[in-house]
Amino acid sequence: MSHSMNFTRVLKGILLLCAAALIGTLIFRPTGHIMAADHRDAPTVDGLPEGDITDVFTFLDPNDPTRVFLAMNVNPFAIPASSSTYRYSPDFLYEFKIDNTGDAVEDVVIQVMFAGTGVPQTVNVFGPTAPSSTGIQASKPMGTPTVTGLTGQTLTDSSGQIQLFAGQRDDPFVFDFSQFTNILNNNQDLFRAVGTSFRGRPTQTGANGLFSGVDSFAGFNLSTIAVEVPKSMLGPGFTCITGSGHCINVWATVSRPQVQVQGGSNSTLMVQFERMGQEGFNTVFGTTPAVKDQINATAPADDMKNWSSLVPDALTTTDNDGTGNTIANRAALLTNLGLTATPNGAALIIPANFNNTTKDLLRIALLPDVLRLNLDALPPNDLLIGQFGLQNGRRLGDDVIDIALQLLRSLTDVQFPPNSQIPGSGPLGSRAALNCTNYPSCQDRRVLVVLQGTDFIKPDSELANLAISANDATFNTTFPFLASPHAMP
Amino acid sequence: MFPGMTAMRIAILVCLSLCVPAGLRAQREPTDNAIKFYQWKIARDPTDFFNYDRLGAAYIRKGRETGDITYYDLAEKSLAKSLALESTHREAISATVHLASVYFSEHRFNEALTQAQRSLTFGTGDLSPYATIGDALLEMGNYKEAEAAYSKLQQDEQSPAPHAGLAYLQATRMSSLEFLRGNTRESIRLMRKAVETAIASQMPNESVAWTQFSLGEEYFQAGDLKNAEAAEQDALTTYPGYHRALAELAKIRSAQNRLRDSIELYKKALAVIPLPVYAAALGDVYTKAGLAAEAKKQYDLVEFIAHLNALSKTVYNRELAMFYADHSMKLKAALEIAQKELEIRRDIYTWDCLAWTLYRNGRVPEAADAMSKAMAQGTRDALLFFHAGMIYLALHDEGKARENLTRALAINPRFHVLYADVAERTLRPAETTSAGNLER
Repeated sequence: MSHSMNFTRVLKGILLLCAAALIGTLIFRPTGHIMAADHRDAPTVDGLPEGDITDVFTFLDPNDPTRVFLAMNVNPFAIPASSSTYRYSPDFLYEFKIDNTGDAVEDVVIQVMFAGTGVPQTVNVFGPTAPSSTGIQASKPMGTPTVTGLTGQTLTDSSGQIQLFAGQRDDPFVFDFSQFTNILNNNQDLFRAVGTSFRGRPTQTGANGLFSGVDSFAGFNLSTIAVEVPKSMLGPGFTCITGSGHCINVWATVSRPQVQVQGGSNSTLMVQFERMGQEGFNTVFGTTPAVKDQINATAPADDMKNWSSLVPDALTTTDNDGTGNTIANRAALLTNLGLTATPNGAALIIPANFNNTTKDLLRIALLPDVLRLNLDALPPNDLLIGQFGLQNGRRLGDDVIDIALQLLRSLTDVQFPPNSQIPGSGPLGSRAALNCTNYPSCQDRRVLVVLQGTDFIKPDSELANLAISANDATFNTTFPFLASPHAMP
Repeated sequence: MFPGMTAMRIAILVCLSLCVPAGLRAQREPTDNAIKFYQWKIARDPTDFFNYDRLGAAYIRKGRETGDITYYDLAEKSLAKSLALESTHREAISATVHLASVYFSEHRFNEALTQAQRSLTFGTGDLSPYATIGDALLEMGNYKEAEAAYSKLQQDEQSPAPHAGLAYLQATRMSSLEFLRGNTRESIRLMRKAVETAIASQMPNESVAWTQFSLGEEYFQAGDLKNAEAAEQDALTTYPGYHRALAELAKIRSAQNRLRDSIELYKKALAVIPLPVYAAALGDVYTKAGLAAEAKKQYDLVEFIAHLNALSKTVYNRELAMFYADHSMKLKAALEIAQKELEIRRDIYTWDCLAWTLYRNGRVPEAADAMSKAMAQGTRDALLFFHAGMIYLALHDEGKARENLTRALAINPRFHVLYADVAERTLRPAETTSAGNLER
């Protein structure tokens, strides 16, 4: 029973969001134009990559599980050997926020600010400390920093307890963004072609076996802000939703000085414009640029209220439309389509007998949009898919894309064509389901994104191992763990 | 790897034996790295639209940095490939905007306008395409519409995300527009603001340097050589070897009558990129210095460069027509070029070009008509007043001739290495004797 319960909780983590989230993450990465224009060839502008969080990570240090690692990454798509062109904004406040009581309100913050516009910059860390205020506004940190020094090297505080690294590293994210976009945009249907019914990339043979995906992020660097502190500075945490262990919620934000409506005053009030917790939430649910901006400017404590309508219902053990629309029948459908075994898909991680009784499972798993870390789950057995959210915290090498795709394909309610005999083809009624009534092309292309449960970047023989992502660089075994930045290929 | 560059390289060799400074090489590395990197990415996944767009953007930057317009050809090809893979969804906005920018740089203003307008239809909320829309309209002489486009470059107050770029785009564009309307002080204020924004938002070095260069140009236009020089020095600090700033500083030096320094600076600019306008300006400085043979070498080079390839013929048309007119060469061809240019852009400087070539061809009443269009916006550009003054002189309208030439010199007593002297010589007898003595 508890096993089923755990899985149920787990699934919260599941999210369809994953897919969506991923989407969001990717799309959000600014494309940056640079060009000439005007009768005198005036430049155009880039976005604000130094304020664009691509990913957040948190896990217990496998070398010393009394310590918690946290990282946020900005400056996506950094070109190797041009590191001097990537900086942190001296105007922005970068923060890790930690909730240790379970209310999604930060109880501890680690604040990071930068000075100077050249490279290296000076980095100052304030905290971990209780915030002077919570939510989307913060005061610019004053006083003596806990850690100070130059970017590009590991720094420690005077007690040796707090470590910091800010600088260029390999982008640890792994995803076939090109194919993902092609699927969403109806240029293809799946990550790998299946028969004649689904368009997709053909299977390729590599040195390690069969694959067909390409990691769009291979070769790129980014700017990380990585911190490691004793977990006692963040905890003790609240009882995890599974009933055992102590959990904390973690997310990262970027804030800027409040816009001066009437000039003159030198405001130290900082206002959040960017945030991230679990992989992909905003990407998936931020259906328009305006919604994305709004999500980024709001706090996790309000997520359930603000954004639960963006998340579809989860399937349960009970038929909700008279067509047998249950988890078990979804599993059977995927299997009948041949999508739960290689070469056409990954094996199911949500079993047919998975016991979920709440249609809100995905909402619970995805909202609030925070990483949920069990401080008592010791490495290396700390992946814990679906226990608290998508996975436990987020480790650098976790295959978070496949985890999300697999949870979502088994659990997301989808409306299939009426009278098609497919589970889910009944009346919509009050269901919040993704629209695929013109199956197999599907109006909501996210349905197709998740069908195979993988983007096939790894060799087929490794699809079942969700603890490896097939990143193109080898992670460090010690802090700051992210791999060294790539050199020019 | 870069087809089409051979001719330009030859021209560079012809032009100068100067080496590209080491500092400049360092500046170029990020862009060269980006080009190389995205070529590598494309080899790994030739079906990814994203990388073709980024490669195109890198070529555009390379073109900006070097002044070598052949990079726009490469950019266009890469962007076309990106759009062949994805042109109908939101993700296509970047390549679409980039392509608009390439078209603009190639003086394909209608196409630039179309692409920039198309980029707005993707519904991403990105307002930056309004900059290119306004730029194209400006070139077409649609000043009110251009202003309307520029006015859209404002942060949506409902949007919490900062868009530092919009403030920059609006400041630079409105600065240009204010200059065209004769509001020089406001133009300078806006460009100063743009410099501050560019630095604060850590824009790429070339972009910051362009802004500083433009501020210097506006100071020069206002006759403030001291601030003009400071701004150009700033640009050269930001981006060592920046060809625009080198040439602008050369112009300032000639205005300061430091001809030897001016010659050296023009040579440096030409070493970076042999633009016809730089060769023409260097020739004029040689002329001023009494070095006719050296001047002729540069003047010969102007035509050679301007005819290097089809793109050069398009992009440098107006400059070539003005060069012919200024040096009393191929006057019929100059007029034909100017008339043809008017088919693709109808901004005040194309009207000025037409006026000046008509004038040189002896078609003075028509020149006066065109000149009135050139001055319709009230632009406080000394060269425009000089042209107008000379045209009125030929029309025997002494009062207007004196008024315009006086204005030219009042705005900037050293507005042109050769024509400032002409204006002075022409005015001096005019002020003491009768109008009948006002002869060319």
